[in-house]
Amino acid sequence: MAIVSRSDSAIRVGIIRCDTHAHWYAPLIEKPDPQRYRKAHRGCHYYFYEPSAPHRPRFPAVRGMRIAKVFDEEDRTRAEGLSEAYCGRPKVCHTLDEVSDGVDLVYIADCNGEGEDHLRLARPGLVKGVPHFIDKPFAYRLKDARRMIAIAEEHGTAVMCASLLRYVPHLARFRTSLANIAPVHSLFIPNYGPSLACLFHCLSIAQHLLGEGCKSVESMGTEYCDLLRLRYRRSHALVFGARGTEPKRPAAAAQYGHSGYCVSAYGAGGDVHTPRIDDYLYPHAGVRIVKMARQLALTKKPPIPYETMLEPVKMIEAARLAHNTGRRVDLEDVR
Amino acid sequence: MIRVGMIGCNRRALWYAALMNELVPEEYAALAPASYHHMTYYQHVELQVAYARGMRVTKIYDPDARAAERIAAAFRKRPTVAASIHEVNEDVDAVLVANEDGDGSAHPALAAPGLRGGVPTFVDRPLAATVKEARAMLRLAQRNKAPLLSCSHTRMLPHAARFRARFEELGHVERGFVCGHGAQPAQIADAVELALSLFAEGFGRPVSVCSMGAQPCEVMLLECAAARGGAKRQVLIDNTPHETPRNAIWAKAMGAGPPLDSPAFDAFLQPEGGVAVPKALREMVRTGRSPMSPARLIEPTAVIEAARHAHNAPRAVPVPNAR
Repeated sequence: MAIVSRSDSAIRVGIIRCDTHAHWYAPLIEKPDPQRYRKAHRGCHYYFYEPSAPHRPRFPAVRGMRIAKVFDEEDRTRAEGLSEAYCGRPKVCHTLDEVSDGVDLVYIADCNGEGEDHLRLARPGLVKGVPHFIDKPFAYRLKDARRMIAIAEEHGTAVMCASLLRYVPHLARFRTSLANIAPVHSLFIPNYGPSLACLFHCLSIAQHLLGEGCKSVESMGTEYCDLLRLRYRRSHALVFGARGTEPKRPAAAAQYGHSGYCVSAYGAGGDVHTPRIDDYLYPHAGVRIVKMARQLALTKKPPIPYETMLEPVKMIEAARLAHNTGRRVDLEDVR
Repeated sequence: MIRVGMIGCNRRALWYAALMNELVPEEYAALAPASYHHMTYYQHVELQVAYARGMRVTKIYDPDARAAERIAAAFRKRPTVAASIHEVNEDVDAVLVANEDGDGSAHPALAAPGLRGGVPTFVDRPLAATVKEARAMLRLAQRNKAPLLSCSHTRMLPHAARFRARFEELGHVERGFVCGHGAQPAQIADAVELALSLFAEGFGRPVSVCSMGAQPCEVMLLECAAARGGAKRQVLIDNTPHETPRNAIWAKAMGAGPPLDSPAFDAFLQPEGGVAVPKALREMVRTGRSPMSPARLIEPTAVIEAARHAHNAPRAVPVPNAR
């Protein structure tokens, strides 16, 4: 059974899939060696360290956590690279099953994927009772997400899934400004990329700003989910380019190539727009999420209600059913 | 002085009459207080908006004679209330068909007598309910050498033109968005025409459209083809019924780099687009030509008709090529 490490009382974290997001969350879990980290992932180092002082982190790691194990079944060198950022201390595992042995938390990273393998990747650890932080999207199918919750509960543990966009404080501040234009009737969310991960971010933005309680989903477009309409009791959110092609973003001083979202809200009192919420700002949310993951590891209780985590997955299921059928799919009918 | 016959005695007709400085302010205030409010600002009795000079509404007509009588009293010089659609076209230099909230299906019958008589004619948005009817109106106009213009005031907004001039900042606009001001057919036409003028003109023609929502055209997704076979540009139009401040419409352009948001094209600004209509009508009388090509006249109707067919349909419906 997994327990919090007695020697240093730090929560031992096992990371599955050492993609960009693994490198992204890693410095919030435990401070790496800046030089080695830069070598392991220049892009993440770019955002997490001061431009003028590349050894000084912009965001401190959450206290009391350390990366104990890393694993990547597709490319072992990615796991080795991440381990190297911590001077080779985190053990590079050979098997999926090994990652969840002797750790207090498993993090399944997913930078830009579809979530199809999350259940498979989470199952070995969950049956051992290890809490799991699962990157977005929670799962490709709602039944997979529900299954992960069920397995966790059967084994006395818990799972959490959180999009950065659900916890970025800039959107929280923007939400308070909606009172200035109330009642809000339309939320406009242009999407950034074609993956389900990006769509999950957009749905999390809607959840962040309009709250839970999406009633129904409509979907249309020549390409799958070009446009999603999420209906709430008094308003709607339009997710534009929900799974469309990634816009071209040439890197230049004025047209930089970071991932980012600009959201607009329209209401009876006018219009308000977010600043560009992008890679420079996401770490503010990352800190909050890692703190929640720490709480998850300590309590084995979900820090976020499961229904909150499941709502975006239900929206995705509803969108699948609704797309180009010409009908609105109620979330309560999604099972 | 250009003599104008006005068809349709509604608030829209009053709005255009105000933009020709034809109304007694107090009467206008009584009949259309909101429009009066937006044209006077806070301490004025007289309207403060620019108006088209040299025009006089000499005749008005509405199938509802009482409506015609009611607005006739608001004019500085009372126009003749025509007894028939034919009479309003007699002894005038131009005709203006005002539409407050209709879908354009009445327009062919209302415009036909004037067009047959070769009278320069403005038909408020939308030109017609179907492309077939719109083409028939154009043929009638051409046969009788009657210059025909139809557009929304949103197409003529100088503020929209200035917003469009900023697109260069994006390098390349990949997507557009228009948040319209309502779900009535005329309001839908306002949003569609703004979308076309911002995102289709100078880029490529609208090729397909989807529609979803509680009623046709509530949420529209338009695809425009690049002129030289490049990437298509998607334009989302939100016509959900809702209250906007001062009847505002907004637009947003997205591409590489931060998006561009328009100012609110609201009731304070919209008269600047509206005044371009009587001015254009005045020019049509002078030159005998319409300032808009047949394709531009038909295109909004083509988009809206296709969207009606596309509504809640399994896939996008092609927009007939009007160009």
